[in-house]
Amino acid sequence: MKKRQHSEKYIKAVKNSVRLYKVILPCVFVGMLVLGLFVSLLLPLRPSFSENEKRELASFPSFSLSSLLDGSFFRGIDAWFSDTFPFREAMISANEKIENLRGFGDRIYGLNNEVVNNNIPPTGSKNEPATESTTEEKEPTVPDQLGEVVQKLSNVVVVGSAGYEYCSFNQSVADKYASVVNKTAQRLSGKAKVCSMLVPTSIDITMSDSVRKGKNITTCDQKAAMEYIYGKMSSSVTPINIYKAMRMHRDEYIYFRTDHHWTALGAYYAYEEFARVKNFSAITLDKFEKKSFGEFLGSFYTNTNSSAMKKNPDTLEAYMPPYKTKLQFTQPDGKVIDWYLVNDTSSYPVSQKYSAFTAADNPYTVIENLERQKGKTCVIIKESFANAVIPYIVYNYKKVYVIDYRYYKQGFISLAEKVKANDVIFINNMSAVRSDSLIDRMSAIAV
Amino acid sequence: MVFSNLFFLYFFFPLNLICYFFAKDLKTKNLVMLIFSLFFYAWGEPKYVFLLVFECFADWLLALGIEKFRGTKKAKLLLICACVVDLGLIGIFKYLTFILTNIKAITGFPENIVQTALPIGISFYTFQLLSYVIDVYRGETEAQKRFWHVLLYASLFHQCIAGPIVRYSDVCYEIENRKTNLNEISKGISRFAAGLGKKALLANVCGSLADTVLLSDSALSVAADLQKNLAVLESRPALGLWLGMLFYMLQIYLDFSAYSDMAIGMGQMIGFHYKENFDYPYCSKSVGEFWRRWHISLGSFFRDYVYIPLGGSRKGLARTILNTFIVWALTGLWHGASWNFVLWGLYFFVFLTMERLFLLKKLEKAPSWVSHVYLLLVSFFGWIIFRFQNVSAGFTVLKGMFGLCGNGFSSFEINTLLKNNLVFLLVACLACTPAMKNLGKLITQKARHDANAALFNVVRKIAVPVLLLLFSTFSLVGDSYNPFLYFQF
Repeated sequence: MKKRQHSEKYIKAVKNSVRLYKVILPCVFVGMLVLGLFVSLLLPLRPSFSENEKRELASFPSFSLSSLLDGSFFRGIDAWFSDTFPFREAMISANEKIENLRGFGDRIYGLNNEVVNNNIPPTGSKNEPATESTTEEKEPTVPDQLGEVVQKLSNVVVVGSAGYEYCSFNQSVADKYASVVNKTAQRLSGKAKVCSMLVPTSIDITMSDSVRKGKNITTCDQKAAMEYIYGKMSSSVTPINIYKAMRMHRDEYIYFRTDHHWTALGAYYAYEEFARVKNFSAITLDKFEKKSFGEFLGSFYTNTNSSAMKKNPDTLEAYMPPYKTKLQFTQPDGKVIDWYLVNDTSSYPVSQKYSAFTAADNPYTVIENLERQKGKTCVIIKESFANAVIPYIVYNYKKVYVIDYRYYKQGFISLAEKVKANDVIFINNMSAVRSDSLIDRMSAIAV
Repeated sequence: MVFSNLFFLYFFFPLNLICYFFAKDLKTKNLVMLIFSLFFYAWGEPKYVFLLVFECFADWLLALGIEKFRGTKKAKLLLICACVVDLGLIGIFKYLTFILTNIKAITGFPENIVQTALPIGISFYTFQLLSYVIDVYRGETEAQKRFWHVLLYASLFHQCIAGPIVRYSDVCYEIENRKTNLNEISKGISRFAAGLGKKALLANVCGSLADTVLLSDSALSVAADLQKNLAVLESRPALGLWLGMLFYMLQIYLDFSAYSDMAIGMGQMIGFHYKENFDYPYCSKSVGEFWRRWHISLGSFFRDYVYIPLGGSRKGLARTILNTFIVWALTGLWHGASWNFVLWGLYFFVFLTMERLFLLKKLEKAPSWVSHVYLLLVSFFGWIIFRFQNVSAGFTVLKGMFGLCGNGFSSFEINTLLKNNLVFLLVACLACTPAMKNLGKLITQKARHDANAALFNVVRKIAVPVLLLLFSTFSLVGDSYNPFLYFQF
């Protein structure tokens, strides 16, 4: 092949540009730094809240002599400067794209820093789960997830576009949880009936067996863990074991893929089981109007920034109660607000759609079923999983008091006594009953 | 403040450059550097900036005295004074808690142990000042008349907190006479950008991956969680532990050499020429060579101020071995006030002695890949000692690497982690070799004869630093991504 001939002019131009290099690089590089200095001082460009991260960004520290001397003032400026950097969101997503180059389309952020304890002792209790049915029904299978792109981060594994949170079993916390429930039942003995619903998380229900068992995922056996906890509960507590019910519907859309919660449909199956155990007549799902509140990218997405999830988001589907209700919740600052039992969150940010149910997480919420003249009263001690199931439970009660024990500051046993509750219902997911701090919170207000 | 920090990159550093280049004469420029350096130090240690100033003042005064009484006993006395002041200060602030803890363990006394905070960079600037006073004593350099020049030398933010340990004689001329030109500035920028990219894009990632598998230092230092954390380490599959240690081995080189790159680059931008501190140490073929290429300014400090004064290798084999022992115990201890660092230093002493006695001859005869593998393995296992201040944690990891914890070879999680970072791992390994540097040289060579290559070369030399700055910025901003995990309660 003949070598291309360059004109003398061209060669001269190149030589000039080589000379120009030592001018251009300092100009461009130092120019970028100085531009950064200029832009970073334009305070209005600095964001103060991050929608994606659901948090207030660091604010400029207040000055004091002691904070100056111990260095915390300067550290505060540092944190403020980088946390509220102009064009932060755009840069974070650019960084995501660079991070995606590290491996074959997959990403990993961490490993489970809990030893997964699968030697869950049998409790040999007299209190056999009431839900155990005698006829062996065959569980449906879910599509094989092998061959899907697999990602795992902190304690979330992402298979294809579905996230699953790892779970572990912590015996002492499990014991503590059971004892809080037992204490409540004992204190309310003769006044109210106590029941407990433990909600399995999606990793044990909807994850395909080829991955969950075939890949030997190091997460705990939630069925055994639930049976252990139910076994630790006294005979005055009614266990509502929904594990089997959830497994029987595992091929349906009962958990979100981009969020750790269950869907309104999943929660309905739990409600069915609840009604069966409690001998209530369950309202059937066809009485509800099904509505879609649009695309939903929940906590798994926030945590992972998974591009597979973004391409394939969840849909927030809700079932609108056919009965009239009145809901009032109290904010942490004491303000009381009227709200909807199921609220249309179509216009909410894509990460906030789950707040459709039961006005999301508030310390104290009171719901009245306006269709009933008379009826029972219950107190529900819960975290966010319960939000999706409460709209159905309301059907069977006249009044429902909802306590989110993470934020409520008073005693819930005395509340149950005060409102003359017929039932006290604990609703917790399996990831909550392994958290020491969380169950300590619950224990602290079990008075 | 560290260099790989948005506040440094987009506030402190540009402001420093603007003030520096608008300052009209060298005296003003030096003043600018001094003020910025003291501010830089005070940013991290508002109180201890006075310690730094005091130490400089003491050494400045003592050095003047030494020069005045050169050749007399007084000079020697003043030198001893300087050693007492410098080593005393570092002893109190860095080693007192460690020493007292050990005394207590043996004698049960004292009951309450003073907890001293470690002032940032004290190990670096103390050694710089020490080398200055000793050099004056030895007559290798003149004492500096101006106090603030000594202060500038020791506190210069380029190297004050993370090295290299610059010798006074290497920069004393440039403090008072230095010039820079566009070519030097461009080279300095390239070097700085390479260091920044190494730190922000590679070392930080290696660090977080290592912490993912091996647990972070801060997690492992919580005594109450030790049993739980040991159980986690025991359960990690063997492949995971090898990977974790490999990421740590990469992190510690990339991180440390990145700081030196940035320091050298910033120096070059304003006309200072600091010596190289790292020379691709993982490409060495023996432990001796490794230590001539790893943290060169520290190795040469101990060589010039400890090993050779003790007689070096000129006083017979037994004495040589003893001298080597002392140097490596001290080198280990310099890295931190904990026994594992001493152990780590002595670990190298063992290999260095073996090399001196017989191993080096054998290695020279063996094919070169054997010596490469030998060095990589020795340094790899050395880093286990270095990484874990808690010896039982280190031992657990070592056992687990050979499957002796009943932990299995690999797991779904570890396989995923490896796949997720395979490309990154290759790039990080490549960054420990001169491959990129040689590629650059090759292109530059070709550019001499080929106009197309010349054009490409120019574009490359401009684009690479600019892109590194840009991507590093993204990465540093990305590090602040910290979702509020409401579902973690």
